[in-house]
Amino acid sequence: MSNPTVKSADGWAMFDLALRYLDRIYLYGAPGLGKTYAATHSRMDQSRFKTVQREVVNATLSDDIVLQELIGHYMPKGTEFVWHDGPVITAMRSGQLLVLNELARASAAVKDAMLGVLDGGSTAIPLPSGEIVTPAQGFQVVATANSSTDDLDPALLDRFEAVIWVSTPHPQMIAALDSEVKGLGTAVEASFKDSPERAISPRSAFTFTKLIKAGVNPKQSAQLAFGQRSADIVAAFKLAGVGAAA
Amino acid sequence: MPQTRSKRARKSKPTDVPIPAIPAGKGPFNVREMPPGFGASTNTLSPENTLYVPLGYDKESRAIRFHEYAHLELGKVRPDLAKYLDKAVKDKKQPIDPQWLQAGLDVIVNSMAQARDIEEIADLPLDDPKPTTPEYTQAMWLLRKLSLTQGRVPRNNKLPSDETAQVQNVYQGLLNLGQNYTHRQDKLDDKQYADYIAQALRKLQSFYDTKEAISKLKMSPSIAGMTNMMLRQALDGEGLSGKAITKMLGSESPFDITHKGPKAHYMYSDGKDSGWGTMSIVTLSMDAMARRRAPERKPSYVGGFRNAFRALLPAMDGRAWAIRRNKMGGTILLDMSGSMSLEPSDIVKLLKTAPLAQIAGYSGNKTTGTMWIMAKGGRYHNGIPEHPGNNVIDGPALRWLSQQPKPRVWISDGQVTGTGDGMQTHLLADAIGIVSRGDIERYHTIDAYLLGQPGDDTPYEE
Repeated sequence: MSNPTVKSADGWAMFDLALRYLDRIYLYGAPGLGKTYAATHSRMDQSRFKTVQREVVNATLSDDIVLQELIGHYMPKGTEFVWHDGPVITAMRSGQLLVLNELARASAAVKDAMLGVLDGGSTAIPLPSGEIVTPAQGFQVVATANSSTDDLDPALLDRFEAVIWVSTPHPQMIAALDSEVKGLGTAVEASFKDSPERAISPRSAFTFTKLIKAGVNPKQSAQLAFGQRSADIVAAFKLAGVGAAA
Repeated sequence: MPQTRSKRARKSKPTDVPIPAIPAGKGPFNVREMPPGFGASTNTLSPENTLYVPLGYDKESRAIRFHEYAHLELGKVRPDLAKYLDKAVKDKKQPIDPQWLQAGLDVIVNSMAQARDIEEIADLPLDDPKPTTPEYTQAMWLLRKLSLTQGRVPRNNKLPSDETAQVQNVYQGLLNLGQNYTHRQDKLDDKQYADYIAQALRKLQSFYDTKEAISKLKMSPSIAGMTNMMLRQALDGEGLSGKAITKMLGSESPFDITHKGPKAHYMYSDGKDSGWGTMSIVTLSMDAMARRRAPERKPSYVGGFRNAFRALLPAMDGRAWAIRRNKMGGTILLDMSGSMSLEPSDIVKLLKTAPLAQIAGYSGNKTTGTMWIMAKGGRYHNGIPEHPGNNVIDGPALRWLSQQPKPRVWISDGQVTGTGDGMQTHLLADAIGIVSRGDIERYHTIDAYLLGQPGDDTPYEE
C-alpha cells in the first residue's frame, strides 16, 4: 500500500499547500520543471517557520552516493579522527528543510537508510559514536524525482505524507523567463500543453536567454539551446511574438 | 538488471519535432507524418487536436510545418473566425467555395508568417499548373504564389493580364489582413475579419463562375487530399479501414475500395484518365540454388517453454533459446523503385528464411513496367535486372500477387504510383483494396520482413 499520487493541473499549488502543513513530501515530474527550485524557494515564506532561522540542505542522490556521505563519517584532523555530520544529520539536528534530489536514483543502501530518516516522529538515527540523533522541530524532507513512484519501494513511498506529480514548469520559472525575454516563459508554458516529448525544456530556454543576453544572434542562440528543433521552435516563438525571436 | 523505461535514454521520434502547442495555445496534439506532396492539415476544432505534416528537416518540410503553425496561430488569435467562415461557405445567396476559402486562408497565413520574419515560408512547394488546368485553378495557384513571392507575378503565370490584375487586387486585400491579423492591429472583431475575407474571395469566385467548373470535377481537391491522408493510414493498418473510408465518403467517392467487380472509371480535374501502367512479366534464368539449412537457434523468450533445461542456462543477454522458424514458401513481391534501393544480396537474404518462395520484383517508367520472376522452387536468378527507378505498375503487380500461393508478402514503402509516376488517390485506394482482399501482408523493408515487423515499422524507437 502506498500513498495515492496527487495528479492535477495545479500540482504546484498542491505542493505549496503540502509544504505548509506536511513534513515529508515526494515531488516528481519531467526534468527541468523547477522541482528543486520550488523545494528550496517556496518554503521561505511559510508562516510555520517564521521564528526559526533556517537554511535548506540539498543532496543530489545517485547510485554512487554512499550512505556515509549523507549521514556522516570520521575525518582525519591532525592526529585524530573527528566526526563530520552529513547533510541528513545536519538538517535533522537544526530542524532544516532537507531536499533529496533524484531519490529514485539512490542506491538500495541509501534508500533503506531513508526508511529511518523518513519515519516521522519516531525517527532516530544512531551514529557510530553511540549518539542517537532525533530530528529537531522544523525538520522537513522534500524528495524529488523525474520518474514516477514505480521505482520506489512501497515501504519508502508510504513514508511520504504526500506524493505530488507536476507537469508544467514552476510559475516562478515562467515569470523569470518572461522577465528575461518577453513572452518566452508563456511560450514555454504553452509547449507543456502538448505531450512532454514535444515540450520545451525550461533549462534550454534559460540557455537561450543566456546566449541572447550575451549578444549571440537569435538563430545561433536557438541552435545552441534547442538543437535540431531550433527552426521549428523559433518559428513558433516568432508567431507567438516572443521578444528575442520576433 | 533490465533497465526501466525511465532510466533508458529516450530517443526522440520524428513526431517529437513539431511544436504546435505554442501557436495553438492548446494541446495535446496527435501528430502524424504526411510525406511532402500529400498535403498537410491541422484540426483543433474536434476534441482531439491533430496535426498532419511532413516531419523532415529539409526546407520543404519545414516550410509546410511553419505554414500550419500560422494556421494554428490564426485560430488561436481569432477563435470565432472558423465559425463565421463556415457561415460564409453555407451562405444561401453567395456561398464561398471551400477551395477559394482555403486559397484565401493560405495567403493570409503566409502573409502572417512573412510579417513575423519567418523567411522559410518562401520554400513552400507549389507545383506549376499544367497548361490544361482550368483558369480558376490557375487563379488559385497565382493567388497562393503571390503570397510566396511577396507580390511578384511569376513568369510562368498563364492568366491574361486583366485576370492577373484581379488576382493581384484580391491578394493585396488578403495580404493586409494577414499582416495585421491581431485584434489590436486591425481593430476588427472575428465576424468583421471573416466578412472581409469572404468579400475579397467572392470577387474572384464570381469572376470565374466556380460553381460550374466544380460541377465538372469528380472529386474536389480538398476531399482528395483528406482521402489521400486516410488511405495512407489504412495502408499502414492504422486509422479507418478502407471499407470505412469508402462508406464515409459516400456518394462523393469516385471509387469503391471494397469493390469486387470491374474497376471504376476514374477522371481528374483536367478531364484526363489516369491509371496504372501496363505490366509485362519476364521470368529470369534461375541458375543458382537456394541453400536449405537446418533450423537455426536464436535467443528468445519462448525458449523456456520449448526447452526447459536449456532455459535454465540463459545466454549473456539473459534470454533463453528457441528454434528459428523458417518461412518455407509462399510469394514475395518486391517494390524495386528507387526509394527501396534493392541489392542482389537481398534476394539471398530472403531465400535464407524462405528457400522455396517465389520472389518477384517490379518497377516501371512513364506508362509501362516490368515484373521479373527472380526465384521459384528453390532456384534463383543471381543478380538484380536493370530496372527503371519508378513504380507505375503497383496495381497490376499486386493483382498478380493476389493470385499466387500464400503467404503473400509485399515489400514496399507503400508509395504507389501510376502512369507518369504520379501519386493518385484512386490508385492508392485500388492498392489498398487489392492488399485487403488478397490477404497480402506488407512490410516496409526487407529487414522489417526478416525481423517479422509488418505494417508501420517506423525507423525509430518508442
